[in-house]
Amino acid sequence: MVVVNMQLLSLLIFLPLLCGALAWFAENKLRGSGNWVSLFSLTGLLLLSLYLGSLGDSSLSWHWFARFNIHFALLLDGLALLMVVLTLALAILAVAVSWHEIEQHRGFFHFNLLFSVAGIMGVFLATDLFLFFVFWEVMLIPMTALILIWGHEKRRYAAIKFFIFTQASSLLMLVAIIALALEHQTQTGFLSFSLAELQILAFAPKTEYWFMLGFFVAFAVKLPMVPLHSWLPDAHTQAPTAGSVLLAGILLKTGAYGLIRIVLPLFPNATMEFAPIAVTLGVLSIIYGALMAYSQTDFKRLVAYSSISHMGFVLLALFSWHEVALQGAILTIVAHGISSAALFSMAGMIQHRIHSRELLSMGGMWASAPKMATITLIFVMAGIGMPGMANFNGELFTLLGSYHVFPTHTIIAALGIIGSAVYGLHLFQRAFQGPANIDITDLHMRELVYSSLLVVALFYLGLQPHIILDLSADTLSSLLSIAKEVKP
Amino acid sequence: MSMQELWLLLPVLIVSAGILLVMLQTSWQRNSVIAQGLTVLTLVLALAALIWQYPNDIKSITLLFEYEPIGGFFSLLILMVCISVALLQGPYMGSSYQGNASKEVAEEFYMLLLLSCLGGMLLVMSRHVGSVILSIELMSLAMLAMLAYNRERKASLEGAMKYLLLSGAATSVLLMGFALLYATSGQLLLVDMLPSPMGLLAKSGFVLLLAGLAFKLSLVPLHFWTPDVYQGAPVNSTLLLTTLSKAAVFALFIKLILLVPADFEADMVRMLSWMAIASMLLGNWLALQQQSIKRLMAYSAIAHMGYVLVAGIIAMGIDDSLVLEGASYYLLAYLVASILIFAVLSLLSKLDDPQDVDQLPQLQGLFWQHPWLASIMTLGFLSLAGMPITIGFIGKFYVLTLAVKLSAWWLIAAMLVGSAVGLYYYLRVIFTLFAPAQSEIHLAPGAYITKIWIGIIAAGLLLLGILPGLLGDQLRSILMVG
Repeated sequence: MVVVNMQLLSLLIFLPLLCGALAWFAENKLRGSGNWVSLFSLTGLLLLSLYLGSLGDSSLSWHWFARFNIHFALLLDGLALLMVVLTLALAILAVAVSWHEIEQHRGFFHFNLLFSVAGIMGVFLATDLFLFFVFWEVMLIPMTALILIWGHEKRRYAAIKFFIFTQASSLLMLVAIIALALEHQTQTGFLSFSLAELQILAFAPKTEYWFMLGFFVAFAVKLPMVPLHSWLPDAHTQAPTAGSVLLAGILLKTGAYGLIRIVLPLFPNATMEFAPIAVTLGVLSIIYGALMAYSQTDFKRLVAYSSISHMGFVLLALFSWHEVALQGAILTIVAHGISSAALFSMAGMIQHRIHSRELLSMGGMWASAPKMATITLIFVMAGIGMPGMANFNGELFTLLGSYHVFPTHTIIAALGIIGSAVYGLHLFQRAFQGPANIDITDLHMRELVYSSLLVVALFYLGLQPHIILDLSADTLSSLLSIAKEVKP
Repeated sequence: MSMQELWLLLPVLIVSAGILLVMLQTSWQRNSVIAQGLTVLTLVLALAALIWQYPNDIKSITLLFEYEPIGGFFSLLILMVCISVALLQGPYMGSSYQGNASKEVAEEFYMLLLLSCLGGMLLVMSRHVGSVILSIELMSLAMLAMLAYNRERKASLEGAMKYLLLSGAATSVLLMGFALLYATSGQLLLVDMLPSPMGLLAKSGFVLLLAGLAFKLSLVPLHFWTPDVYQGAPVNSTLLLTTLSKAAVFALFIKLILLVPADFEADMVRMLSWMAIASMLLGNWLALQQQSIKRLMAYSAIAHMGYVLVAGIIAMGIDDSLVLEGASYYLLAYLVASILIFAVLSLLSKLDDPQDVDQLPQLQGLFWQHPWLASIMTLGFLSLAGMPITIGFIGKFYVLTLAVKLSAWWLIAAMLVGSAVGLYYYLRVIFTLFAPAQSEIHLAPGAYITKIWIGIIAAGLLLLGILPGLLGDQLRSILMVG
């Protein structure tokens, strides 16, 4: 039984690749079939991951590169399961929103989509730092291709910027990973890249700080944190809808996930020391993101800046290192994943109809598309953090928890919530209210189905947040016990 | 020379016999297909012989040569490169069977290729000044003729002329270095040449010697010839120049560096570190705005030789087999990627055209017309950029590990900055391949064996990137004695 589990776990990474190739092939043979292949394989993977999750934690470790004691090691625990399910659900959404949107090279599109899913799942599952790094980089390639080939007018610039920002920052992480493995060799006599084995290391304070910074920069670029954010508005705006959904919904979360999995447990002392700076930058991101979002006239750019603002909350919560705040961070990660993906898919639907993302050319669309307007309103409300919906819990917990540690920062961060109400309503008002500028067709069946599913998810997780908290409880409690050792 | 020593020289003898055969065949009846077939057959036989009796200890063969694992590994690389070039040259020149034969004679190219290969193989086996000079010149002179192979291309002649003059100057610097070393130590064997407290004369001799080799490796500040020669030469000759001569000279370079006595190490580390840093930064920087892929590859070669040099510098700092493994893996990765990139250019070009296809706009939209070809080129560039799942990443990982181990933070900083800058221009080429197609791009028809071979190399690039253990776990026993 155990052996079967182990192999199934690796399927979570290999199957998307295989299905991607299959979708490419199928689409070339029969137009339109790629959509169905992708949809079915992602649904199958979702069921598989749920089945694996129901069996409890599972892990595998294969020899991979013996010269450096590198293993192909995966672990599916509660938190990883949560992220994997989120990834697959949003990937299904990405397929659904691009059902008719993609006109050229559709087979290759599906291949890239599933390829990036494989890479992202690898990031969430890997427990060997070398493997983690490989997936971390590999997920960039198909994502860059998605932006470059199927993106909008300034796609080339956006793709190159996205790639170079994330790649250059991850080079620092590579150096940190290697240095960490060599440090393990000096302390214990053999090289190791395994997360669990690296946790026992004790560092000199200055070394630990440098290690922490190497990882932090890579994750902060992905998150993104001001001032390392400038790739994000371009990439999100220029990407095709499916790309934006994956970028905002999951890719940003890999940064937060890396902080939770690697930076906090491996370098607790340095993290505590660095916390005031990180939290300040987090609050800066919240306020800056909100202000910039308000001044945008491009639908997708506005949502992109709002992501910077929301991820600032995650940074604030993680570096407060308080139980409630950490729970808030996890809730925000999931909630923002769903709500920003929802808003981006709405932007995609509008752009598909009027071929513009410009808010000034919209206006009064409620009259012609009431269903679309209602659903957008719900998405916007979720983004604002309306009680009863998923985001509210995340932000509330974040602020509650952080207040114990960084009261001043938290008070300023709370202003960000007002900011989000301002830009959210601004967005809705410009697009759907006022005199009718433009007539558009309302949502049709396929769009209505997945939009309502998103609405249900936002409400359900808003009312039942304990599902998320139960899944991540183990990870969080081990983090807290590390924190207790460092600062009793 | 005993029978056993002759036996050890088997790969070299096979190549020599191949040269004679091609020469006889050409004088009997010209036929490019037979010449190509003979060449490939010779090289494959030599490869088989080399693998069959791969060295696992050091044996000297006469005064001039030695038979040892590092040389063996580099000979493997050289043979791989030469087989690629021999296979690519067929479609590049066309053949009389397909009615598109080149105006230039075809057979001599193969002979020159074999000569150059012989020079390279002898160079990595050399243990004596005489054999070093002879083999390095054999390699370079044969290559010179290949660089000017199309006599109607002006740029090609200009490049060859530049190479001739500068390479001649570099060889004389090299000779001067040997002469000074000989003057102080009175020895001509490489291992005995460096006296142990190094006097000023010996030091300057060694620096001159390294300068001569650095020219061949096109390290900054001896890199000026590289872009013009690369761009002017026919694409297969450029490929040979950027792979064969670099690999062979680097093998000698690292052997010499390992001989440096302790009292001279600090100076050498300082000098070579500056060269490496300058090469990495300048090479990547100058490549940024190039429109010609050959020129871009020239600057990228400068940068990559800077990375390999890092391994060489570290060889003096720590005594570990990891250094040799790292340098070899990196060089292998570089060769494989170069072969793939130039192979694509070669399959799209013709010798008789006034220019090869190497301008970026000419390659726009290649992916949508020839997906396999464009994928191979993309893999090559991703590997040069050091992206995971390609062999280039593993090479980069090795070199970075070495540098971190020695705490050479300046070198690491230069590597990181260089890689980040490098990403931009590699990405620019890849993006061009995926841009909407502008015009029809013609691919050489037929040549299935060539295409299969290129496919195998591309598969190797992926395989060794995804399963680095396949080679990485064995490299130690491949490169070290015992």
